[in-house]
Amino acid sequence: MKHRTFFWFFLPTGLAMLLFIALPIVSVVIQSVYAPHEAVLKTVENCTPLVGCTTETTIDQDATRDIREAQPLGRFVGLDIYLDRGHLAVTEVGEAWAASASMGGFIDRLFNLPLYRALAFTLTFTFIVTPLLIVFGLMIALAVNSLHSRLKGLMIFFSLLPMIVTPLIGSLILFWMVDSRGVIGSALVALAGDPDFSMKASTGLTWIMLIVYGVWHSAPFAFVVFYAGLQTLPQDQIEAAQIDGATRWQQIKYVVVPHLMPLVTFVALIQLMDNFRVFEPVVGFNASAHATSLSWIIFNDLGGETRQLSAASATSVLTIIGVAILLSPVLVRTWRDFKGK
Amino acid sequence: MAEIQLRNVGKRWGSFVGVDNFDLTIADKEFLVLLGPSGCGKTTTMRMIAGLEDATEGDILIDGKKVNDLEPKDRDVAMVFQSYALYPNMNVYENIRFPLKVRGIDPATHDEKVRRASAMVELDDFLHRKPAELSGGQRQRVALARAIVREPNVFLMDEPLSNLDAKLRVSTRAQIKNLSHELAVTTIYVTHDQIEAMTLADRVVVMKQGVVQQLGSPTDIYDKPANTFVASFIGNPAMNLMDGTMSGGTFEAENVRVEGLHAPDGPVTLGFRAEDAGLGDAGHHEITAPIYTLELLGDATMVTVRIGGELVAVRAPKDFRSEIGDTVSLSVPASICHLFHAETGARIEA
Repeated sequence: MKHRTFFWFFLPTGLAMLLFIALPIVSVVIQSVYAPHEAVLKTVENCTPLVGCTTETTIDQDATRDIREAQPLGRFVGLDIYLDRGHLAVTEVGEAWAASASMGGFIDRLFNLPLYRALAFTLTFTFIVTPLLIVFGLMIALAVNSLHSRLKGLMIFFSLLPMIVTPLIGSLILFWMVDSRGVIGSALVALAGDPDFSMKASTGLTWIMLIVYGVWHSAPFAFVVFYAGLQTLPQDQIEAAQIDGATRWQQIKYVVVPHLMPLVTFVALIQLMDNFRVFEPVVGFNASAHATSLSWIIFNDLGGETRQLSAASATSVLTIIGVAILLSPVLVRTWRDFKGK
Repeated sequence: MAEIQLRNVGKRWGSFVGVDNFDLTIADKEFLVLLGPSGCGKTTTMRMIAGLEDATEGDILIDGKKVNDLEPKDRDVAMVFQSYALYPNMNVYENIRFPLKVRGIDPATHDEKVRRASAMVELDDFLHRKPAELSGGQRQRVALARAIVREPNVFLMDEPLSNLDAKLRVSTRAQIKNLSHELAVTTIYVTHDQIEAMTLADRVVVMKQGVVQQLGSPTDIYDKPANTFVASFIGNPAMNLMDGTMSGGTFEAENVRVEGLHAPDGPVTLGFRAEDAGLGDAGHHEITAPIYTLELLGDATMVTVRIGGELVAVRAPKDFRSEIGDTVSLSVPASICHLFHAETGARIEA
């Protein structure tokens, strides 16, 4: 394609990408290096005949409003927000390193810092849920694919239900189920023989609960992609493998999975991104005491009266960098394949 | 080594009959070709032997052992597919090694077996390549090597040459013939190409709509076709067939009169092969008709006339020249003629 033709062909897409992807990112980056203006204080001397004169420090509302209107972005602070305690906490990490006698102690102190605590759960969630949902998605796809054609439609519908249910509602339903009065919760109480047993009270069990929810919610996406891929599997390759002596497991390992590998990469990419931005289950399960995520921090910063826009922006930029790092191996490989062609 | 018995084997899908009452014993080390047009049931028969398709009725026995209920991997057969069916993610070496690997054969022997198989099909220089980097002929040779590497009891080949161009088809056919001779393994080969059938087979089964039409050696099939279907399917060009009437040992049709035949009086179909007939002269000619078309083949000239709506071709010397529309006399002596029942198409033996 000629450069000129390509330019006109790409222009609408390019404009949309600029408007809806690049501009918001740039605005968030800019916002993250500006902090809100501090209130302008003024000292006023009040003199009364009985008490005498006293000085009083108050907020100069007019001056504060003027400076905020003059510089609505706030004041430029460079990377200060990124480095503060709520984010990368460079000083606190340095102190923790100096004060800790062992790696375990250092990690304990690190996890007291909000960003690192959120990062620990986010990465654990991402790297456990993503492979599990791929494996479960593939298993469901293989099972449904081997069903009689009359049953397939029904099974596909049921398999897709977790994905159809809104994430927040889905997580709430599971949350009620694990409640001590819920089906799973009361069963676990009976199983543990401890009337005070509560999944929600334990950090470990809360993480497991969120991970199970993550797999339950996302496996249908992997299933539907793999099921579509299975429809393009050349039947003669499977038959050749059968005659060559491959067991059912070997047919899956040597024929089916290699055929689906491009789709596995696709699902892994999408789900790595999705799981790194885990948010709804943390809210739905009311689990923020035990598990916070980067997205939850952003939500938390923006909530309440304080509305820390700059802090939320800095966490957003760190999330974007995190997603880019996660996807970089696949993106580099895709680029190499492209250059190799 | 194995003898294969098919005892009244049939395959039905609802009311549709794919294969009907197939009864045959294939001798140990025999090269049997299943020949017929698309949809005749030849591939279905092979797939039933392989275990890829369940027989609706009848028994399949390999070396006297009933295999109807055995999985394909337990029948000790190897199969070459029309589409090659190579594993695209594995290189040639791994493709050939695959049956050894999945069957748990001693890994120490793999390399030697793979290299021996690849040498037999002249693939030594391509072992590191992926199937996508090979030509059609090379891919089919990989499929052959994968079939021979574990020395199975039976080879099944499903139109292995169909996807190759004409020149490659000839050389690969020769390679298959040579391999078959060297390995001496019972082989069942499916094709719709009668030249492949004639050149490769010890015996040929001609099929039509799931029913066996004739079983015999290539010579039998060619020289004594059992019916008009076999007669018109075997040979290039196909046997000339014309409808006429038999009366007192003489066959008569429009522009045709052949004497000295032995068949009951009444309507019959007469057939003869183009290469058996020739140009006639003033004293000896059975057909006199205007030339419909002339085709120069290089080593001969094919003269075609039209008899009762059917085209009848005769092989003439290569230097024969004439014009379309000119009248030509053709010699079709009784000794080269085949007679078939006009209604059933069955051969009438003299």
